[in-house]
Amino acid sequence: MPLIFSMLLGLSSTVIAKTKATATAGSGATSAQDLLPAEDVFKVSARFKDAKTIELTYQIADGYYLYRKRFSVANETPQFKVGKLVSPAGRVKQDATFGRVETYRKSVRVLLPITSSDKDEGKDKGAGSSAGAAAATSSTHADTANRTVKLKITSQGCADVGVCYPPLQHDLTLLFGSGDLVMLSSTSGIGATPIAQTLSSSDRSRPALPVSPSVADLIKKTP
Amino acid sequence: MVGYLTSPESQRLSGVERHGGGVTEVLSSAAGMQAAAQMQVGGAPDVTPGVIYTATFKDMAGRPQSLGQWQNKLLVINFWATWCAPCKEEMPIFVKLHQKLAEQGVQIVGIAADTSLNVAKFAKMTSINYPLFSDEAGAIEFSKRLGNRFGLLPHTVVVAPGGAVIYTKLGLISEVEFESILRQNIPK
Repeated sequence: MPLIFSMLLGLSSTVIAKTKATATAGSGATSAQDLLPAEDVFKVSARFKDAKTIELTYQIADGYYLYRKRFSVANETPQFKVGKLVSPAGRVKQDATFGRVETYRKSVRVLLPITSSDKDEGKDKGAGSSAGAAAATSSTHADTANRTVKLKITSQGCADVGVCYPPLQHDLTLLFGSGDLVMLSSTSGIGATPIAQTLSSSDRSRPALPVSPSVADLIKKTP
Repeated sequence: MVGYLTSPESQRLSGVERHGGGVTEVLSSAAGMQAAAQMQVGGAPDVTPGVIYTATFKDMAGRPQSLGQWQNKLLVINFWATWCAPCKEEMPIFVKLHQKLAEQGVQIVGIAADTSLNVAKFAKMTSINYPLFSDEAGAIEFSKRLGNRFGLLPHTVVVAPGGAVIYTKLGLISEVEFESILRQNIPK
């Protein structure tokens, strides 16, 4: 156990230094002691907005913000194509190094275009060889039970008190075809233990479900 | 070059973590006061000098550097990242203090939770006069080991010669306060 020196000078009572509030007043953290874990600050829900678009909604606690340009998506399933993430304009703030940056507060919805690589919007795939055509046909008609798309969504944000969270990663697994959202798990920061959560959304018209911390069945089918 | 923070009003929060076993909770002075309080928050109870001095990170040339080479120094470990705006804001303070106090046995190192490419780009744009290391996952892991529960940045730890953690700060440091702490602990 290291020897720890205590050198308290000049204070007859403890005073917590207040941060310089730079944005919205509210119930945000005023000191490091009040800071919440990333999973409680940045909550994600997801749904299919339409057949070709995943909509991610981030709920952001008061006193915290996300950077617009710090979203990234990694597609781990080559049989699906994920397009560029579409994000709305954010609030502009000046960064000492990067200049003008945009941030989000309270909540933000971002969109991810997604299509199956097997289908090519009605065009004939696998042209050129009969073997290729057969293979393309076979994968186009693949068993839907195996048509899961796995995405890693990374975002990054900070607290108004003047600290930043490590990049926050959410692992998203969707079952294509039925429109169900199979599993959403989040990893707070690099190297943290994943938290498995379950969402089910058999009806696209329902509002997006919040992230639940419970571990449950991975797949819920559309009735 | 990243600008200085000179206004007392720009002082940010002071990091405090309470640990069991009677470690003193010390809180910083309010903005505008001179360095009235010594910040002392121990690292995680299981941090030993060995844990600190065997920690190894890659420098900008890709060479592994062990913190043990500075075991006779007053070692300032600053955890940061290029994506962390407050981290970059405070770096000029470390540059200034390293310039002032390096000859008196103070050694500052910056450990980035970032890619070496990003750190190299940043180093080119700025004039950082102390060693910069990078390890995306390892930096956060080590920072957490030193008491940073959520892996937040910036995080600064001061280690006395021999390996005792004598100061930690979560968030922006205050130049006046921090310099005072270093001067009071200059190795003899």
